[in-house]
Amino acid sequence: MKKIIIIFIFLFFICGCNNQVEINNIAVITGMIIDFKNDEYNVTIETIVSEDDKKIKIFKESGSSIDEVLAKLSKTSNKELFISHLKTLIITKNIINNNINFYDYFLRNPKSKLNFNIYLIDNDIDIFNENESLSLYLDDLIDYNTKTFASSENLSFIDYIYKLYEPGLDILYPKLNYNNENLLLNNLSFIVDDEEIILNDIDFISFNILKNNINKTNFNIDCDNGILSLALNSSKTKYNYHNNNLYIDVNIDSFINSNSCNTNLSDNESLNNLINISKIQIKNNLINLIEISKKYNYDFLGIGNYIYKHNYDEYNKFDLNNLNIIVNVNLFISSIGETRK
Amino acid sequence: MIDELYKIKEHMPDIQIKEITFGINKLILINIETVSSSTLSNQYIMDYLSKRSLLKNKFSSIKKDLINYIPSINFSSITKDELFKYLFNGFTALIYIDEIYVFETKSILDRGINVPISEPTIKGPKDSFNENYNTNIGLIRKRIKDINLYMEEFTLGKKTNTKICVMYMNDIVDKELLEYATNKIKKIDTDKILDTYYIKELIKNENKTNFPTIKSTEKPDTIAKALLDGKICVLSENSNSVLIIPTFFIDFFYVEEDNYQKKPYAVFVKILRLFAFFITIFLPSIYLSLITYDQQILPTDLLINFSLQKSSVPFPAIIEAIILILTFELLYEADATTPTSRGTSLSILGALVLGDAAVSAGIISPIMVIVIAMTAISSIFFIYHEFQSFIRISRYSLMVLASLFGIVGILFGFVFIVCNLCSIESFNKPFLFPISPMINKSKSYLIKHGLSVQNTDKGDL
Repeated sequence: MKKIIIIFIFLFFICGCNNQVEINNIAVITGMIIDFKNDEYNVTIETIVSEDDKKIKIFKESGSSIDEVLAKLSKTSNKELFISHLKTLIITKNIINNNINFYDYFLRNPKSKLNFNIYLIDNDIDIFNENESLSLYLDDLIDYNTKTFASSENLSFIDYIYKLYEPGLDILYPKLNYNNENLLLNNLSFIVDDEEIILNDIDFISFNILKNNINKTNFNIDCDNGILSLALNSSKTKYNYHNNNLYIDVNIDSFINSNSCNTNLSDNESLNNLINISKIQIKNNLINLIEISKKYNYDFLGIGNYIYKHNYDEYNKFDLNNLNIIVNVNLFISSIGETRK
Repeated sequence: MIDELYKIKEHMPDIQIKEITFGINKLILINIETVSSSTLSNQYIMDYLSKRSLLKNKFSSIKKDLINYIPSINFSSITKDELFKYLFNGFTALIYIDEIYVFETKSILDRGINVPISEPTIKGPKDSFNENYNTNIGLIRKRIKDINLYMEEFTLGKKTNTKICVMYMNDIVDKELLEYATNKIKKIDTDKILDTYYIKELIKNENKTNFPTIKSTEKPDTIAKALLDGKICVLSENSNSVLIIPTFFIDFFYVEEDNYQKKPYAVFVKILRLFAFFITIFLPSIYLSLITYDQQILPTDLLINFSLQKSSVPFPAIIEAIILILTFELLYEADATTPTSRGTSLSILGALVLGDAAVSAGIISPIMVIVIAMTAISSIFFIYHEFQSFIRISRYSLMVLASLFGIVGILFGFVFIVCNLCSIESFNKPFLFPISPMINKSKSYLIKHGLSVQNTDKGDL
């Protein structure tokens, strides 16, 4: 019994109840915008506070560090700022251009959950409003787009840190556009020497195919006087590196979603012809994307990382621009579909 | 001796003494009218004596006639010291010269065989023990028709002189266990044994735990199964509950009715019972820790919902929980002592107070009502009163720990409970058997057939 009492007392002194806070006394930080100007961090936070009703409160402050800014912000809030439920972190181009270390605060703070999503925005503008939680809206939006249409990809903080420290892997940011008070989720983008490059829809589909990341999407193939729309069943991409040559084998299984080409789909020869056209177009799309990566010497496809992991000895002499990349596409159409009469 | 009896009658008015003169000798009939049946006494002896008197058979010996012709199978000659023991047990005594004969004339003082109240069943036998010792043994005997069903009888309680029976299957029982248990019961030195619960309290002192290590039941089929599993059962006079020795942790999750269900359903109910056990102990403390210390674990939407509901309550969460759980405890105890006819009004009042008015008044949050309701409903799964007491104590301790230390406190409590359970022994047998130590039987077998201490086809501990 004595031992139990001693353990109990020790527990009391070790843990204590000093960090106790009632659930209704916290202001849940759901969103944060970080900008860096004139050697100062400008931070805007969106919080959800429960009083009589659910209220969204926006706070804005500047300081020499994020910690200092949050300390200043806590003076304006009657509730404890609670960062564990941060969903959306928006960083401005300034942060990327000046290579500002904004992530250290989140890595060191034990209450930060590290699973929030990062977005890129041009300038520090007041996109948060007190009527609706933009952070929660964005969180659902990107989740839906990633899972359902593969039209975007989220960048979680932990992925960001991984890509930051992993050799041969550069980061693509989900981009937010703010036009005429409307917020849009743009395609992925990257910044090289203050220049921002935004991938288009076709590039993004190609990116997902190359990263084996695709779930469900459609791609359109130009054919005789029309468009063939292929819906993707599955896609598997294999890499093989040998003597400065990277062989990329892409196997795609798809079915025809819509067809406005002048082709008789029940005729094997015509169908094969259509498949060949599709293969060439998909291959060209993939090569285009690789060329973008080569042009800006920005390895967002992680080719360097592949060589680092599989052929470490050759990683030191790896140069993306001098690498020979051979792409081979195998397309299989599992169903030509049926038109209902 | 007659004078002594008349002296006793002064402060024991229910003693009946009738003197009958036969020639120069006197025949004295004694019984206690509150425990014996006068009708039986009249039938057995008075009837015979009056007929004998009419026939005027002077040549035969009265003593010989009494022994041979009184129509009672339970008839014996006793010494003077044993007289009151038999009288209190409903016997009628006959004193002729220096000889004392007794024959059984017990009156029926029990309530018959009713349905079990504390262990209600839907399927399976619905008879239960009552306060009659012989009836109780009979209910077991009619289920196990085997000569190996041994009974060891002795008397306990200096004032109550209660008859105790230790029952076991001689060919199955673990002899060491039997010796240990019997010795322990025989060593009881007390004035009163009014029920088997008195025995339970006096023999369970081997462990420092709140967990009940002896199970009691009022269902004869449960006892029959326990006996056939090699366990020892203890019956007592005037008690409708029978003790099962030893009892393991897992036995509290086993209900006799499971044998009468289809296997998948029985397995489902057992898993549900285990789940309910964890809910009823841990749910309030987990909720407290989540809303006071570890809010980051909750999903954001849920956190905001909880926060909204809690915003109108002025008390800290632990006070809110204590208010609600104490109200529930009050209702629970009140309901246990309320006649059935008034139970409904109590339920309505409870539902209104707990469910609606307290929330509207801003004393407690709706989510706390849900948490405590789930806790209370889960605790009702466990019908054994001692088990419920353990659940309550553990629940409150964990709530205090959670309010002081959050999840760390709950983990500390959990480790303490597990260590405590692992260190318990029930009559020298590990209490967590067969979880620890494991026995060489498959899990599916254990789930299907229940668990036993020792059986002819089951391995030794």
